[in-house]
Amino acid sequence: MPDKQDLPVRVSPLLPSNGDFIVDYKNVRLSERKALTAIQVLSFNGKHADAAAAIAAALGIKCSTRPGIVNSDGKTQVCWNGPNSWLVVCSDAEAGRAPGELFKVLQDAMGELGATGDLGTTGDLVTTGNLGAVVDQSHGRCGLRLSGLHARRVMAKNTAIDLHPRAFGPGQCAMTSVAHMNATVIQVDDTPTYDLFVIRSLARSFAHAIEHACHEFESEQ
Amino acid sequence: MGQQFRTSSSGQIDRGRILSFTFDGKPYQGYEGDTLASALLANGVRLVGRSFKYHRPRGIQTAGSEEPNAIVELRTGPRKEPNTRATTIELFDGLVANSQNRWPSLSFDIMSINNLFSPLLSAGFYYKTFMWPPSFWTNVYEHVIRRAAGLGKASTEPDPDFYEQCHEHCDVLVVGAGPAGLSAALAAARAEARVILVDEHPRLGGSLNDENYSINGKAGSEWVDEIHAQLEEMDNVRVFTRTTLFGYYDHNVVAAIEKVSDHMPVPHQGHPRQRMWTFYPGRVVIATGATERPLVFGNNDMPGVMLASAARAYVNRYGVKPGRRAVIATNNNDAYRTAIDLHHAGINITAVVDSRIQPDAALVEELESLSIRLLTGSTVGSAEGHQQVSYVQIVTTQGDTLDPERIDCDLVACSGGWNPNVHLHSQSGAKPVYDDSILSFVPGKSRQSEVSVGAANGSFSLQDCLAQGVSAGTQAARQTGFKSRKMAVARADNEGDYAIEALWISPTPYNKNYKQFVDQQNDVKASDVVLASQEGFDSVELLKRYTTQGMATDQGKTSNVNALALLACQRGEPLPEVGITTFRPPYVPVAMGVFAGHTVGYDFMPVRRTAIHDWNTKQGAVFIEAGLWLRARYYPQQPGDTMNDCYIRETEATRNNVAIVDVTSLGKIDIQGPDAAEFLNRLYINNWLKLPVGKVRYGAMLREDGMVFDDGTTSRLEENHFFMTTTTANAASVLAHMEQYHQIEWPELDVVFCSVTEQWTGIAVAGPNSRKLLEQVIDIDISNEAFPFMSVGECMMNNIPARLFRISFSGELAYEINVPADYGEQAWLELLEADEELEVSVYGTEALGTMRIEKGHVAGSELDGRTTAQDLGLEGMANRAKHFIGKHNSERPLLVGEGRLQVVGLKSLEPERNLRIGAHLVDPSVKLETVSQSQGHVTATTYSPQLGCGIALGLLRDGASRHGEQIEAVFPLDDETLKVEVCHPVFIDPEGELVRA
Repeated sequence: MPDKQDLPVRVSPLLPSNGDFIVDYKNVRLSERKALTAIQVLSFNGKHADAAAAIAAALGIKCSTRPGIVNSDGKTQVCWNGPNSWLVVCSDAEAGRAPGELFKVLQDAMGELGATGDLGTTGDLVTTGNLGAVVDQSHGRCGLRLSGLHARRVMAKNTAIDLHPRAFGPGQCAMTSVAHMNATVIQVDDTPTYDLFVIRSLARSFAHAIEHACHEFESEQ
Repeated sequence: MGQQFRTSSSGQIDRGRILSFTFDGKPYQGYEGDTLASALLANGVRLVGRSFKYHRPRGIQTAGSEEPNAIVELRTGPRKEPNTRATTIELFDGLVANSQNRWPSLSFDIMSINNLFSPLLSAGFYYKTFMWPPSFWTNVYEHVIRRAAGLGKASTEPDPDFYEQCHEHCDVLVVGAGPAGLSAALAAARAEARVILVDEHPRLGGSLNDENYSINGKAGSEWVDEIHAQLEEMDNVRVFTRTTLFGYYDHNVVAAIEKVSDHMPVPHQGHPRQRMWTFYPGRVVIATGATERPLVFGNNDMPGVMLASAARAYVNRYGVKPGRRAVIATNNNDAYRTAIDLHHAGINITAVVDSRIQPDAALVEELESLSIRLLTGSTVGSAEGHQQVSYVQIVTTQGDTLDPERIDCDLVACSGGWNPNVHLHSQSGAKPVYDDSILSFVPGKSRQSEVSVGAANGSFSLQDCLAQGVSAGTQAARQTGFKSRKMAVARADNEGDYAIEALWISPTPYNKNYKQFVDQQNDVKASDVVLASQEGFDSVELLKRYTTQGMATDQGKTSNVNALALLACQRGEPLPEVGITTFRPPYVPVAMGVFAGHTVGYDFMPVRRTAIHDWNTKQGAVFIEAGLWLRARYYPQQPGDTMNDCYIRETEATRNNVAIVDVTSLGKIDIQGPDAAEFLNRLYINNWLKLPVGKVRYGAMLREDGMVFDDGTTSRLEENHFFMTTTTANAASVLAHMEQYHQIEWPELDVVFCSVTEQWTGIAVAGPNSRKLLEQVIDIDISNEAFPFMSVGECMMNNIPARLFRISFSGELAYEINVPADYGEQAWLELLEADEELEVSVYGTEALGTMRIEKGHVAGSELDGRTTAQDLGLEGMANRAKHFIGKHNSERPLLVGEGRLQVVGLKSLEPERNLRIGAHLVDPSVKLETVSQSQGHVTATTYSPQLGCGIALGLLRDGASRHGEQIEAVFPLDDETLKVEVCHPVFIDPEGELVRA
């Protein structure tokens, strides 16, 4: 890995010329979480709990094996992402990590991939310590943060899941359809604040739909 | 000025706020709180429309969403909306409305001549009247009928407003905010359930707004305000006004339309015109009230004939006198309140005509005390007048019709009884049942988690409404998991019996033929029901379709039960035997726009853009849709450049020098785990176990049925780490295919995988100078010895981390470089600028396609789901000694025998003429007349600059053994025939020397 200063500037998928995407109304705000690091960890057969424990130990953040849970230390989010998968998200700058460091930390936590010998399927030859695969998705996801008094009403225009405080709160996440696009929804706090992750190629269509849903609140003073 | 029909006081209108509007171009005034209908009545406008079939003059019959007659064209220009009910349009300043279905004017309508030809236009007339001569069917009759049919004209301009679709969940959904609904909502809310209360009116209260009831010693409206205030204070309650629940679907999912901005000239900035809500309630309390049905008598459609409850509503709610001299006609007690309320509003009640012999004694006494004349055992036989009622003829229900009494009046307020609004209950899948005590249908056994209360449940007493509401709300909360608390039921202060006696149709004066309308919106008369029955259309569903009764935009809200009763009379059976038709969504007409929501125009569907998109746009690239992706198709360089100019130039630049293309949209899947190689070995037809690290292999996979599913290259990055590419089209389905096999068939394989399509920007660098170009920017040795064909390696491209693959789709010396997508644009620019001498250019998907055809690479058009590996010339790759998906089925006799369509190359033998995609391949001795004579078809075509002629790939019967044959490509649609030569599908460099150079 080259040094931090050697890497080019990351270009956001949202706006040409890397502009800042922002909707800033009194009661609802939508902005991009730029240049995020997003690492997907997929546990191998029978290693789900061990992998979760290893992630937790490596990051000092709980890692849930239950669906729909996200844990965070305020800087790094460990988000349940599937029956054998988590997405670990942070801004390297905020989390005080060098680029690539989180990937390395997680790879170390999962252990090196072992040789498979004659490729038997019984699992005998799998090297212990081989907990899971680590895949960099940092450039493949666009992160948006939606926050404010009306954030829930904006979400209600685009997703069918129940975001009422009795049903969904901080520390919960969902993989669902938002504005007809697959997205990961994380509730960050009670404001409410939501982090929305969508695949990079859809970023503009996605942001446009959310921005459109915010317009109703533009004139509120 | 105007508004000469206002009462002196009363009503929920704000007489301080005057609103101006026009109807048919004439200016009028109304008040805040009016509907268009109430404001028209206040100005003495009685004639508001023409009927559908006979173009008869029509007025305002109801005060709600059940209105069949007063339908008008609202607004002008792009916001013009036909067929809106004047009774539901909230008046706003500047409102413009016009009558419809008339020409040249409302009062003089040429088409009213249809009224005279009505014997020709009876039920099912379009099946009968226009039978002869048959040659007229399509040329004359259909043309004329289609022109005459339809109601109103929609705007042809784009809708300037937008719509939204929203979602909300709750424990208890209460539909309707009348006395029952408010009680239910409050009871459920106090138990702390999440409650949604919806009502179609701008103000809560339902019937309490229309009536002079009092509750707990207070005016009904005061009680409503109190409950509303309590509900608004609770954070577990959401109240939706101007919101109509129109659909009840499976799983207790219901849909409603919120008219956010229809009560104002234009929506506020950023606000939608309407919102569609999808609610997901635990339990639904249906408190939708009841709809009054009209009496069926001669000319009962005439302006001035109105429902008794509507007349009451206009007086009580809107402070409007719907007439000056009124006759009240009824078969039940309820309409007496109309007589009393109208009398107190200063309307002269000339008579109450009751079909019953012995009306309620207390009511008789009350009428006496008000000096209102009462006729019993009688009913209105006909209404008479020119374009509005001027008198009625009274007949006795015993059939004394020869000496009808004439009573002058300008208003006939009639009540034929009340129908509970069972629509939502019926939509939920349940079947309403007949209740003889109210002569109507009430909710039957529930099929979903719903309950009807109050008038919607056939309980017309106010006290019952209040009590059932509290009880249903409490129970609904309990059923959705809340501890309910006991709540006191409010006390209704005035009550009376309903006491209905059947009167389904009136005798006509002198037994003459009168038009007695059942369904006023579709112009269905009592005689049509009789005729349908006589002609054998005597089941409810047949009757409905034959006569079109109940099929208008009001869905027969006021007409259904009357029609069923008349059918029952005709069949001589009791009404329950006849049954009831099924109600279907939507309960009220819903604008199409609201179903589309905001997904129109730019948002019609999401667009996937690559990191090169902005650069492509700046270059003026022409894009092509590939699924949701936008890909650069070709790059015009100067004005007038055609697609052909471009792809030929781009192909030549690639073949002669070096060019780059954005291939980001290819599917990319990261595969890791001890069993990753074994997993691939089962997915693909070829071998994967022994692929060395650092090498790439082309693979093909089959579906279970043995047909080729997808192809692409997969690289071994590490011993247990692979990187698969798929076609753009199959990226998601290949991943799903892999998930399915891993989760269901082979869960024991220790392998994990995920899509990384989005992580990487893919750029293909192709052409004889591609190595020379890359050497300027890549930090690893890419000489042919160090990095031969089908190699993969990690590297740095200047300061960008990258993966380099030596693969070729074009058939040239070529590489594919993947960089993290946020660096994609920079990598693209650096490649273009890396070597000033080389003049690196770009190419789009057209040139990409040209080169793949020249190289004979199969793609989506050949992988059409009907071709096997053998058909495509890929069988040599397959290892039939191992197991792979689709292996067994691909060996079925018909898939391996002779007569298969096999991929071939095709060369045009005529200069300047290219082949057409889809053209049939035919033996030159045969004139193509049937498909069976076709021996195959052309799948992909291009002009090959390399060969200087039109070439194509095609699927030809036994094509692999027919190289050298001359056949014809026939395109019957344009009557084109082209001589072609069959050849090997690889047109250039069959030995693959270029890619290995």
